[in-house]
Amino acid sequence: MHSCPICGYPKLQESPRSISGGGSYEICPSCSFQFGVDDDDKGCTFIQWRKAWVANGMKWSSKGQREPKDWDAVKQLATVVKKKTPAKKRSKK
Amino acid sequence: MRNSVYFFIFGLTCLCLNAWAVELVEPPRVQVDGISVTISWKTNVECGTRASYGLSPDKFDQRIDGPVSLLHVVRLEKLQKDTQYFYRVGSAKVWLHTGNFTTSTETRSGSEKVREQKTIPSTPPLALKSKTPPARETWGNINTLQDHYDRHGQDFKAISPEDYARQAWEFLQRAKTEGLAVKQDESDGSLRVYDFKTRAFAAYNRNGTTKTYFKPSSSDYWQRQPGKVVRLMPQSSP
Repeated sequence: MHSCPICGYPKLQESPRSISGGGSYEICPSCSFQFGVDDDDKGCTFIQWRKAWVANGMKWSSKGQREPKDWDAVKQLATVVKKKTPAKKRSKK
Repeated sequence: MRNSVYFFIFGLTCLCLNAWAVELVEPPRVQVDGISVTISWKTNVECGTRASYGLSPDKFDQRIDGPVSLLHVVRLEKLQKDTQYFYRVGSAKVWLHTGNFTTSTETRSGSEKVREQKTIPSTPPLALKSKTPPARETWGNINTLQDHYDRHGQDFKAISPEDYARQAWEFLQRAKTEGLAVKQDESDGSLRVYDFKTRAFAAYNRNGTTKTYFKPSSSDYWQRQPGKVVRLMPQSSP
């Protein structure tokens, strides 16, 4: 299993890219990004797609695959989006 | 210092020998289709793909590059109607052939039309339709078919996921019988097929089942796809 680099869905059947660099053409059932198509053909970046998916409410997108009972969009997203940590302030001596 | 000079001369000699070793196996094939032209050629060793063209034999001001391969294919598009062009083909190191062609206003020349009628049926023959296996056999992961159909079915006016999968399977059969452009990804054995005429693209798993089938919107999508150019034989299985 492979993780979606956009939404963090952990059960992609293939790596988004083969060793040669070609797309897998798999459509992520969670965020609906198609690797090798939405990026290579449409020109969308992962960040752009992620922002749009989040803005649309992080809904399960696949009609062919049922949403897992324990599916948690926020939890899976956290695996790919690093939380911004505030820069440490230098303490004055 | 002396060793460095010898090393430089040796390297230069190797470079030249490498360039001289590339030869055409047969003359380039030029297919004029209105204002688009496809040029294909074969070389005796793998080398890069490069073609340049222009409106005079001493001015090749347009260039197209392609992957390293034995079989080289370039597609020149948006040319001027009824105009003579001069072209040369080869690799990044050496030009192998120079020639010319004339574009036309029609999409196909008369002779090509006749050949097309013989080999490219406008609709799939009934026999082929009846032989098409069900989607559960031709689609790589049947659970994903619905999503691919929702996304790309309208590209081919497919009326159902089953119909969409059938068309994708028939596209692979056409690649075998009509010699559509095919690239094989050596890293996983998958095949990519492209039809320059309809701009349809498909990818197949090593076992011949479909990964996806759609019409790319970017004009150079096929050129950017990785893989070694191969030719499928009618009786071969991928």
